[in-house]
This record gives sequence, C-alpha cells and structure tokens, in this order.
Amino acid sequence: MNRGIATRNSGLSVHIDGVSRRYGRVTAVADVSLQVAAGEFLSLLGPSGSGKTTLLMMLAGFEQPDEGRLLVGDRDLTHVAPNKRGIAMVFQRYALFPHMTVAENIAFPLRTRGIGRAERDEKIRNALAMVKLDEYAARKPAELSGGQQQRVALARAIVFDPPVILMDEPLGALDKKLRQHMQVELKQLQRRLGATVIYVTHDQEEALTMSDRVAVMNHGRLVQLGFPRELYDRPADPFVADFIGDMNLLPGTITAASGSACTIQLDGGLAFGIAPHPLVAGAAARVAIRPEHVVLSPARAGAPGLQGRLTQTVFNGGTTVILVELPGGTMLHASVGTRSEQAALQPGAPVVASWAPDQAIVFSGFAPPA
Amino acid sequence: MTSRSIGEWAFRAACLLVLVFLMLPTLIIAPMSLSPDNYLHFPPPGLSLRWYRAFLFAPDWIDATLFSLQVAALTMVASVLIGTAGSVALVRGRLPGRQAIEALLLAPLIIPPIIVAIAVYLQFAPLGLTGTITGFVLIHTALAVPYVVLVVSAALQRLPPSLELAGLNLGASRLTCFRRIVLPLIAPAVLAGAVFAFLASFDETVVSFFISGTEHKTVTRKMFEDIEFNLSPVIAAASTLFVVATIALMVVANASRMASKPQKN
Amino acid sequence: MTTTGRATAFRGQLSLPLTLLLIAPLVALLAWTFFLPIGRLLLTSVTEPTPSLDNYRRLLTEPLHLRVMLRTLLIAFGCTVSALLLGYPVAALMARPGRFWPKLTAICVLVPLWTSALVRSYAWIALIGRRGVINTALIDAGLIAQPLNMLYTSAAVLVGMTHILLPFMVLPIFSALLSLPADLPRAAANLGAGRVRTFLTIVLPLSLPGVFAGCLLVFVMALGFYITPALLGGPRTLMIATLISQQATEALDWPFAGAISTVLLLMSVGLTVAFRRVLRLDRVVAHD
Repeated sequence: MNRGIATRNSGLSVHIDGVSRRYGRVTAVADVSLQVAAGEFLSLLGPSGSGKTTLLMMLAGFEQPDEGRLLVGDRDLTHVAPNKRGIAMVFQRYALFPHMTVAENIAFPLRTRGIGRAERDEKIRNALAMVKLDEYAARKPAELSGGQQQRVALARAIVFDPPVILMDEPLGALDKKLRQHMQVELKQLQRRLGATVIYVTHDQEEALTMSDRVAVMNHGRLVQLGFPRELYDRPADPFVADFIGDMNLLPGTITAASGSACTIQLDGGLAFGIAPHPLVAGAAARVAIRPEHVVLSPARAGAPGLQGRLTQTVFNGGTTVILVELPGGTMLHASVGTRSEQAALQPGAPVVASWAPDQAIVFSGFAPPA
Repeated sequence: MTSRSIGEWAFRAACLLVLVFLMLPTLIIAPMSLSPDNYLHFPPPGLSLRWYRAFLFAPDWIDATLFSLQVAALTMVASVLIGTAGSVALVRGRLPGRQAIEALLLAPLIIPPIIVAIAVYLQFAPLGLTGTITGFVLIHTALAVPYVVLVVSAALQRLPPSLELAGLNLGASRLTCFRRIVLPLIAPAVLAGAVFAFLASFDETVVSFFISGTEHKTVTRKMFEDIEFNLSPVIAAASTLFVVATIALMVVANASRMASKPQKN
Repeated sequence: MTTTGRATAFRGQLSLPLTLLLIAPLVALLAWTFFLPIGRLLLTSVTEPTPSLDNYRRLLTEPLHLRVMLRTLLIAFGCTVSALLLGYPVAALMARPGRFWPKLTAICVLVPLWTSALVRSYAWIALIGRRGVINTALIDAGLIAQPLNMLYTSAAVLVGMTHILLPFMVLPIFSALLSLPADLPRAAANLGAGRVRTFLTIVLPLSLPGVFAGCLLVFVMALGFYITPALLGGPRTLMIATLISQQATEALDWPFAGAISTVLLLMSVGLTVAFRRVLRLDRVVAHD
C-alpha cells in the first residue's frame, strides 16, 4: 500500500489544514494552515517553544492534532499510524541505530517494506553514493564523525524514495563550517530527488539560505509565510522583523499618515516610513529599519533626520557597525562599509541618522490577523 | 618525610585495615574448606578436598542445592519477563500513578525480610504453597523483580526515544521496533538484571527458611540449620563454591552492563 | 521551553491499554504475594484474638519487649556510626583518581556485597567461635589458656552486622564523592586552602547527601536484620526481628508477631519515606 507512494520519484504536496495541538492549558500549535507545493523546500522557523517541532511531529504521526487535518498529496494522513505514512524524517541527533552498521541502518526501511535482497543492495549502494559514503557501509555509527553520521541519516531517509522528507534541525549538532557545507549539499540533493522537504530550524540564516519559502512561527501561530526575500524586506510584524536579520526597532508616535506612508516622531527627530497596515495619527508605533539602510552624516544644523551621538564603532570585517545614542538613550545601530567615510567617524561625534522612507517599516499596535 | 606524606600513609594504612576487615571473613572460608581437620585451624595443617567430597556426596546437600538452582532459574526467567515488560510500561508508557508504582516497587528492598517471611507463610500455608516450587518462585520473583526493573528501566531511560520514533518513521511496527532496536540495545541490562534476580533468589535466606518444607528445602535453609546445629567445614566448602560462582556471575553481569554504557571518556 | 519539554515527553508513548497490559503482571504479582500478605499480617494484630489494641498494649508495657526494641535501636545506631567511621575513608579512597587503589577498594567492597549474608555470618562464627580461628590461634601461641567468649555477645552482633552493612555505607558516599567536580578541590587549593581545610569546607559538605543516604540505608536495614543476630547473638542480644520470629514460630502468637511487625515496619518505612529524597536505591543496586 505504501509502495505506490514510496517508489514514486518526485515529491507530493503537503496540506496542513487548521491544525491545533494543546497540552493541558498550553497551546503548542494554534490553528495553523499551510500549503506546501510538491517538490518545495519549506522551512518552519521560530524560537524554541514556537510549536515548529510539534507541527513536524504531527506530520510524522508521533503526535495527534486536537483539531485539523494533514494531507499528503490527496491522502488524509491525520489518523494514519506513523509507520504507515511513508514519509521520511531526519532527526535532530540523527537517531541512527547504534547496534547496526551503516548498511543495516539504511536497509532498515527497505526491510520493513519487504523489498528483496537484490533490490535492497542496489538501493543501499545508490543511497550511499548519493551522500558520498560508499566506503563506509560496514562501519558502526559510533565510528563515524558527526558530519558522516548526518549523511547516513540522510541516506536512510531517502533510500525508500519518500515523497516528503521531514527534517528536525538536522544540522544543529555540526560546527559552523561543516554546517554551511552541508546546507549546500542538502539543497542540491533535494533538487536532484525532487522530494518535498519540510525543514525545522531556529537558525534564520539557514532558513533564508536553503528554503524556497519560509514559515515563521511564534507562540504556536504561523506569523508569516513567504519567500526569504519577502520576509527580510517586508516583515509582517515586529516579531518577524526582529527575528530575521539585524533590525533596529525604534519606539515613537505617528504624527501624520496618508495611505501607507507616514511621518513619525522618534527619539531625536522626525522620520519617515511605510506601513503594512493603515495607520492613525497620534498612535504609538515602532519603526523597523535595517542597520545597513541607516545613513549617517556629521551633524549639521537643520539637516533632516535623527540627532544623536556616536558612542562606539565595532569592526566586523567587511562592514563596521556604528552605535549611535539618541537623546532619550535609545541605541541605533548602523552598518556601513569598513572603507566608507562614515566608518571613519570618531566616538563622541554628533551625527545625524536618516534613511530612504521606503526602507523603514512602521508597526502600530497589534498587527491584525493576516 | 613531609607531614603531608605521613598523613597520606596513615590514611592508606587505616583504609587498608578496613579493607582487610571487609575481605577477611570471605577469605577465611576458602582455606577452612581445604582443612583436613574437623575443627578450623588457621593456617590449616594441610590441604584436603575431604569437605568438598563430603558436600558432593551428601544427598541432602545436593538435593537442596539442586532445588535452589531450580527455583533461582525459574525466578530469573519470571522476573526478567515481568520486570522487562513492567520497565517498558514505566519508562515509555502513558501510566497514571507511575510514581506510586515506582515507590511500591522499592518496598521489597526496604521491608524487613522477617516480616515478609511470616506474612507469606500465613498466606501460603492454607493454600498448600509452602514447600512447593510454585510458592518459592512466586515470592522470590516478587523479591527479585525490583532489581530487574531498576537496571532495565535505567537502560531504557538512557535510550533516546528518537531511535524508536525513527524505527516507526521508517515503517516498522511497535513490536518490530522493540525486537530489532530496543531489545538489542538493552540486552546487556536485561542480562545483568537476570543475574541479579538469579542471585537474589539463590541467596535468599529468611523467607526460604520459613516456607521450606521437609521435602523441599533451599540450600540456604540447609546451611542455616547446619550452622545452628552442626557446625562442620562442609558449610565452608559449600560457601566457597557459592562465593566463587557468585563472583563469576557478577563479573559477567558487570562486564555486560559496562559494555552497554556509552563510552564516557 | 516548558512546552517543548512536555511535548517531547509525550511523543512516542505507548497507548494506555498497552501500558496497562505490560505492567499488569508486575502489579498483580507484587499485590498478591507481597502487599496482600503483609497487609493481612498487620491486620491480625488489631483483630485477633479480639478486635482491640491489646497486642500493642502488651508490646509497649512488657519491659522485656521494650528492652528488645531499645537494644535494636542501639545496635542499629552503633552499626550506623561504626559503618560511617570505617566507610567514609574507604569511599574516599575508592573515589580517587588513579588505577590501583580505587580498583582494589572497589573489589574489597563489592565482593562481600555479592556474598550472601548467611555465608558471611558463618565466616564470623568460624573466626570468633569458641573453637574458631582466633581462639585456636591464641591458644596455639600460648597467649591464653581458655578460649575467649566472643560469639553470642552484643559485640559479635555489632561487628558482624557492621561488616555486612558496610558496603551499603560506602557506595552512596562513593557515588556522592565521585560526582564532585574535580575542579572544586583544585579551586580551593588554588585559593590557598590546605588539605584539611579543603576537606572540611568543600569535600565533606558536598558529600553529605551520600553520607546521609548511607546512614539511612544502614540504619533501616539494621533495624530489621534477622540472619546475623540469630546466628551471632545469644539470648541476651535478642533483636526485634528475632523476637518476631520467636513469637510466630515458638509462641505461635501470630497476632502479636503482627503487632511487632507493624512497629518495625512503621520505623523502617517511615524513615525511608521521610527521607526518600536522599535515598537513591538505584545507585546502590546499579553501582559502577
């Protein structure tokens, strides 16, 4: 029954339909709906406790949703036992069976599916070649490095041609260099297989690098779903703005609004920005501006922007971060090219900070539900 | 010599004395069992296997030993089956009142054996269970099963649940996961639990003393009687054999438990 | 964080019916062969011969029985103190880094633990009996003419029980000392403390949970000890467990035996429950 799906060579779509999961009074996942296209690489991104892993566990069948449905292709999996779902999972710490060799680990899903010996050996060979571990078939997991174990876990997950692969922070245990390398490899592998991947991570850089689309979760809710560029440039709320990339979030009061453009009174002066939602003058708001979009210049009387004082410059390689203290004590970060004139400003110097109006996003009150 | 090293040597000497105290009785029965004399001289005037011969050719000793071995073997099998199933339920199950059950499991280790002995005698006697192999195996299993549960559930707790989840995810049923993944990984702990259970039964004295019949008595009851009424070096010979066998079994159990632990260093 | 923790704990759990099925034999066995008989024994103490507290009144008014209980408490206390004094240095030696001493200590502690109490009590009789090793040796050496009376005394019971219970003192202390980070004594030394001060201010306080667990274990086990007092003690060293056995087998007064059992049980279980936090029985069984 599973084999019909298992031997198909391309991904299936995944439909998460109004899924909720509660533990006593705590809501781990709150009414999440999400469509993942066949062959798409989608990341579930959020801090710990945001519900992303619980959602993944429900897809794998280790948890039952209290409400909602889960569909893969047109098959409703909501009440299907985990071992009958036919979708693969790569675990956080790999979950390799320590008493079996690499080949036996990879053979495991083939045996449970009753695949004959000849076909099994062929598939194991292919899977090992796919992750470049041909030589290691007879080793035990404990004899492999972390990166190699990670590849075995991957081989075990792809060997039965699953239409969907779930990954629970699979690179979390690797060091930074290896992680970056594996990100590229994982992505290439996914393209070659055409499988749908749902990838849980709390590392926003990883999510932006690898994913076709990213679903950001917080407190059990789906807060924003979009392309990586979209999330970076047009965060839907202050949480996403703050969580993805570096962001200044400056508190202020709206003085004038027309359409999406508005003027806002901040600590140190007036600034401009655009808002994703209609605004009312006089409301409290926050301006989100990326450090690389902040333009600094030496203070001149009457120059438009925020008046402040440069307190520190932090050398970061190709860029330098400049910390500016605004009159009320708010700190503003600006990121400038290390060789730029701005980087040469000295601590203590009075400066004016400004930005192009369409680079700044203004959030007022609570974002209405999308 | 510095004061520090004098202190150190005094400390070691004191420890050595305690270690001798600990080992002395155990070490004394072996030479005694080899003594040719009826009374126990130390050092023995010569070496003789007389008392071993006496042990091996005494039908009452051999019958009691065989009976004890039989009870211990059955107790071991029963405790491992019941204890392993219980451990799985305790560690992986959805169990209301788990802590209460865990606390009650420790009772056989804490409640004084004399109370158990008398209570069990009162329960078993009217049912005709005293002096029967069923009766012995029942109560010995109750006394030995906590050891199995302690050792096996510790091993289960060390096993990451993700291994079983991975097994399920890869298409195996619960039973297959247990057979192919969990059982091989906890096998050393199960073996250690089996050895503990076997020894707990074989060494059990107080309850056995009370529920032994004239027909079926355990070797501990036989030994207890002989120590009280007829102190002969045959007891030393029997004890030496049992101590050597016990140590051999424990070495196996410990080696097996060590092998199951993840390498720490 | 709490959500994640709870969620993880729930994942992959067995269903309730399967769990109950797996645990049922264990619970049934313990209930029928263990808790039910003990419950019935304790019950007879208030129902027979007549439903009253007479058995307890008798136990608490007869000087003989009071003396037995007092003696049991004293011997148990003596065992605990002597086991602590002898056991702490040994545990310290066993927890040291290095190969030879810790290994030797571990063997000397574990081998007696694995030897049955019966065999060890017998060995003590062979050592200190009238015609035992010590007396024969002393007479052979011409130091004494008549054998010394060592067996069947309180001292014999105390020594024998201390010997048998000593490993139960050493192992929890060892376990506590082993979990002490090696950096702490080093840090103390680095901050100028000498060896004695380091021990008194750092090592000893941090090993107290182990000391406490060891003392509790030894005391509770000593209270109900049967074999050793029965074999090494005489009529003047009667302890509670032996009294229970006498009442049951010689006087055939089961209800009274039940009453004494209730008192003993209240003491051992009461102490254990009161201090269960410090008593990690699994550490004693699963010693490494």
